[in-house]
Amino acid sequence: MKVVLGHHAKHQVVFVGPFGVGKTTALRAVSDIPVASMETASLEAAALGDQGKTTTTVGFDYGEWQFPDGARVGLYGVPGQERFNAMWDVLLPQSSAVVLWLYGNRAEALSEGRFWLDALARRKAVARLAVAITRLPPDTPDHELEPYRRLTGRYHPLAPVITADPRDPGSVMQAIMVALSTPFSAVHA
Amino acid sequence: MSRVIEPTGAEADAWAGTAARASVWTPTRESASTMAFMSTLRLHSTAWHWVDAPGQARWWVIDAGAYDDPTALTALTDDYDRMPWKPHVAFLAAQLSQLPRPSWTFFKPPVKSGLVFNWIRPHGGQDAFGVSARPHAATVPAGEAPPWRQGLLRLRRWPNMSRYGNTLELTVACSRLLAAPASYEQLLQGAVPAPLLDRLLADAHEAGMLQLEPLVHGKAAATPAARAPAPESIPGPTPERSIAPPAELPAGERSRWDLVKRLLGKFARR
Repeated sequence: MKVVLGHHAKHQVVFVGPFGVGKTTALRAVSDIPVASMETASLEAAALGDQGKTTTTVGFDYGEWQFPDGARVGLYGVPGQERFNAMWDVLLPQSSAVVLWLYGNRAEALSEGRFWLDALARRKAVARLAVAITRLPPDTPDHELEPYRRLTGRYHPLAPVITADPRDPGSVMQAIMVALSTPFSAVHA
Repeated sequence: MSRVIEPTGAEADAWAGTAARASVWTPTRESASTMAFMSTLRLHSTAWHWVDAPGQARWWVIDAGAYDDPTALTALTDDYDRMPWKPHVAFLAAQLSQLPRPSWTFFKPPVKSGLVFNWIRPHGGQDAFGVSARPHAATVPAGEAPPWRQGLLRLRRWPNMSRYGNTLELTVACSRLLAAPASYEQLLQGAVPAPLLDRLLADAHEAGMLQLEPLVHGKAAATPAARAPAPESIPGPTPERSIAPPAELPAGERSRWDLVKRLLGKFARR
């Protein structure tokens, strides 16, 4: 038997965002393989009362894209609570794309966004960023996204801000593609 | 496959001079698509000068369909990456996902002459144009073609792509418009559904996110510096850099573009 430590994926796509926003759901929506999850029952999750969520990620979630030539892309969902930030240090600096999932329907969404953008900037992970706002309809008027754009623009002038539904594979793919497709630009730390 | 000869001394001067502006090289001279493309070039008023060495050419025409061996194409792209001056490359292929470098221009044969001319114009052919920024018009007068159908376009920021049906080709088109100006016809070459593209551009125009750069004929050849600057809110690549990615970021950027192409191949609608 051949023992393999680590993995061969050349690229890594990482989903980050506050607790309960839908990172694990998004990963499951697009992964080619059954997602390996490190979830546990959580009173915190149950208290969130959002779409029957009763568990939380305590390690990381891992999914994968596989290509006919054998190439693989690793898809990671990291835990949203700060007490698990050791995982952020491991995964974010080497990521090819980062999707920051934020709530579109709660008052503290912008402060959560600021927290995460600071965390990404410290780990040099804002250059490949897309901000995906959940729980808003796809045809949300542009002006409703403006506060998120202003916030994100302080960290990365070209970072895309889009609405996205983590349950919809097409929507998740779109968020990843805009993160990957954003032209290089000077990034503020 | 011949290797790239980098221009030196007088050769380099000639390359940079007016005469060399229309120097063209192709490694696939015998292919039907290349010959058709070359015939179209001859319809343009520019005096094209065909050269045998790729390092002497400002313009390259490459037919992906003429390569049975993919390693030969890889060698060519490696040669391109090593060149101190980056030629403008027309890449003829059946699928956008075959495009090996994002700075190359994709053409799907059979190519229409208008698309070829639009490709030539921004780079200073004899019918070069001057470009100036124009404040965007708030509305499109009834009966007139939308303003984005003429001239060059550039996006100031990402639109909310989710409004347009999660079409990956549209995402790639927007990425291109964020990096450098392009014409409407060039965008359509990327297999973008025209109605979706029109809707996105109309929304972006109305929101002031679309920068229009009109074509002005009969003026002196425009240099990259004479082009409209990127909006102040976007400290991104300069026009010159947008044609050829800056040298300090090639490995990561190329690798990322490779991934985008793979995802297009895997997930894009056919």
